Amino acid sequence: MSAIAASKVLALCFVLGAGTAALAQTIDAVPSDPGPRPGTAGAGGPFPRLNTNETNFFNAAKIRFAEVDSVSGGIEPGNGLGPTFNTNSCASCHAQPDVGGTSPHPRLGQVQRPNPEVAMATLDRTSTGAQVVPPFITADGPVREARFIKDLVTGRKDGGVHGLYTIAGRMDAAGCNLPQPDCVSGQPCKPFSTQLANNNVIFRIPTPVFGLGLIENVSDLALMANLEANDSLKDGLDIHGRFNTTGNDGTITRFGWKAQNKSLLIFAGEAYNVEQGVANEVFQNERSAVAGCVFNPTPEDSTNITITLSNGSTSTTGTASQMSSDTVNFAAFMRLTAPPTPTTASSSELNGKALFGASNSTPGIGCVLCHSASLTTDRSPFTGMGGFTFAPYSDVALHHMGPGLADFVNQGVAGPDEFRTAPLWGVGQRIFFLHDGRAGPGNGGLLNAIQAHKSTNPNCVSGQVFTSDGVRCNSEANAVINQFNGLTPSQQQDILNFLRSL
Amino acid sequence: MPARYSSIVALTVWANAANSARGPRCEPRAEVLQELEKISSAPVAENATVEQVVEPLRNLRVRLPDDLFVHLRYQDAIKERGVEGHLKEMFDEYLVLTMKHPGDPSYLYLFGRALEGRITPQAISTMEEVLKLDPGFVLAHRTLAEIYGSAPFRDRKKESAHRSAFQQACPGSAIPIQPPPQPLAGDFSAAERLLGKDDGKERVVELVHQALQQQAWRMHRTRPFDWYTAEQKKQVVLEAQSAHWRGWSILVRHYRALHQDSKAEQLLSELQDRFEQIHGERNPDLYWTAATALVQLHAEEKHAEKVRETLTQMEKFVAAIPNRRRSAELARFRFKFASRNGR
Repeated sequence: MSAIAASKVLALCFVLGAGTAALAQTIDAVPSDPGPRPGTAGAGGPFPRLNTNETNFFNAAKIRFAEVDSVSGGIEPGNGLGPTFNTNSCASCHAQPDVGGTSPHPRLGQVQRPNPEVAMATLDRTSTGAQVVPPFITADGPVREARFIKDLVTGRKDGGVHGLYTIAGRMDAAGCNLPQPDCVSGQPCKPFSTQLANNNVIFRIPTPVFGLGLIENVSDLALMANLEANDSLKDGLDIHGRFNTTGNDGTITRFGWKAQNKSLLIFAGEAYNVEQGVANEVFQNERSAVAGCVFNPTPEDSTNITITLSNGSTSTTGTASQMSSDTVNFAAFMRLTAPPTPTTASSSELNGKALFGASNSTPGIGCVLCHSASLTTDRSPFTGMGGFTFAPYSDVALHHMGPGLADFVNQGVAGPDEFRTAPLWGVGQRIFFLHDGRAGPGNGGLLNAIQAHKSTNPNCVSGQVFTSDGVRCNSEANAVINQFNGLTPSQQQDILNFLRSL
Repeated sequence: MPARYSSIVALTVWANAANSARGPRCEPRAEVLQELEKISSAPVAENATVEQVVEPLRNLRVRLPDDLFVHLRYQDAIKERGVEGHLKEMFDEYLVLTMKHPGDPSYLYLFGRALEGRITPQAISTMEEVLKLDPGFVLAHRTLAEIYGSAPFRDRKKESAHRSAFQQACPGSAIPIQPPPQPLAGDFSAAERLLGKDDGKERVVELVHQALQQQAWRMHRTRPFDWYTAEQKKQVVLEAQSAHWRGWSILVRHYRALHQDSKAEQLLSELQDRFEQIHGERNPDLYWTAATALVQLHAEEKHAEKVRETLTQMEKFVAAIPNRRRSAELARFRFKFASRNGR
């Protein structure tokens, strides 16, 4: 039942008198995720304080973000798809509620289109070249990338992304015979079957990229101060947290589900190579570079020394966007996007905000202790982005989420159950939640996601903190979720309503 | 890969062998020649991959690892049929072999040959180094004559000098012309002829796919290094984009002719989606190709509203990016479809 419907029922009960209070309580006893907030997309545009030149750069970069790739540009104009890939455009997965967002859904949200990964099995393929949609990809499910926990043959840690598809069988990749994972040429293909049978596959869904320029520009010192704030309260709730850092200069890394990427440029370069198979100036090597499946010189995306103008002539000068690589444009798009605009206004939403915790000093039930409501940027070269206070609802730190969410993948400092606090801005218009998209419209959505924060390993003995595989016995969020569960259903609903206003 | 490209480059047989004191022979030994001929005359399946074609040569190379002519044939096969990944692999192979055989002019020559047409200035300097190591290594003269005879590196004087040096040592031998001709463009005429015909209509889809794959091969085979300029590469990419719209248009017409309307509409709707994703300013040629294909497909089914919408988009595009040819085409479309509606 939606929040509005529930409140109408409640109001009616008040009118009918005390005799129906018990009924109202019964209805009220089932808090539910109201679903993605309707109306206009609360994100997708440029940061509003940018000057005209910066806004123009953003707009051009956004076009590049939406460009579709084929193997060598001979079908769709972008170049460099494959040999392995998940999809053919950044914007196909970063779609909801607008370009830059996350997984779309065919019937929900602002965008309403099926998971684009399904179409990749047949798009631009020969009559015998179709590939098989892996079983964990569905039209109304989340966009997913697949990572293997370990190499099943050697037993060594893997953790890397394995493309859902290959370019074998595409019109523009004749001669490439690279099969999908766990498939062998000439035999019926059941992609990922062996890996799935061995519980060796974990998933990640796309993170929205709105407002990331602000997160990129918070100083390490400010992030550390934020993490240390309210230390005693956090300790009391068993909340700790630490930052992922780069092995090069030791500074805090911020992007990705485990905060494994240092900068937006690295984030863009990594995703371009991993999700679309486009080797670029940041990640130069083709993955799965079987000779017969490599059709382009590498890097496939690079700085443009010359550009072709719309009248067909060639020039050595152009705009920043024109001369820059796709990767630089993607980073610029992410850097210059506005953060999502919240609509928190109703009394329920405001009450939910108070319960969630408005700040470190007014922590409510404690959600805000990790999902930080206020960070301030350092100085910035972009107009209006310096000294800007914003509400990402994340501390950018890693927290142990216990056995329930552990994916057994290490990335940088982040261990098998550590995840960056997912920024909750924009969560009001998201369809799928948690790193693997396990919570969605079919199973309780946000409420399921909240409950999944709590987990305990029943095999741990008293006083034991970690199991031998490095997973914490208790999620750092357990105490806060216990507090959430101690709220009245109406209060829980308020929190859900608040989250859907972000 | 199309059958016409399935034959391996014919081995150049150098008549009247004249071995230098130290350099290689002009032709393979008789028993090697026999092996090579056996491989080149073996039937090759139409859909054989490069790996399948090259495998017998790889095997022969394992058996005769030091035979220069086996390596040459292997390199020729890769250059003729390979894509970027195969060229990279070959480059790496011969780089490693050169490192394993320091000072050996044969391996240095093979490495230099792997660079030819790819990093040609380095191929030239490598050939010169080979000749310094062994002035009798006449094949280096042959390669230099090839390079200096090619359009991008044309130097008549040097070509003539190296040609003479080679032909003096190996009289009557051929020096291939570089670069080899580009593969032909995809041919849609056979598919178009069968549209709406009772005989052979079942082959339309296959013929369209063949033409598209041929076009893709032309694109991949035009490698943007030394033999072909970036402009030439860009041109074949544009041709390939245009070919796809032509192929898809044929398929829509084919499904319509077979009264498979839902299939035709589904494909047309996919094409409309593709069109919406093309940014005209960044890809003006592709945008225009797609728009013209769509307006015609909509007009053929009398989708008047869609025709109007597409023409309006084309009009805006021409206003934003003025171009005389496109303006004239647009005027023709307007006239054609307006008069059709009038009838």
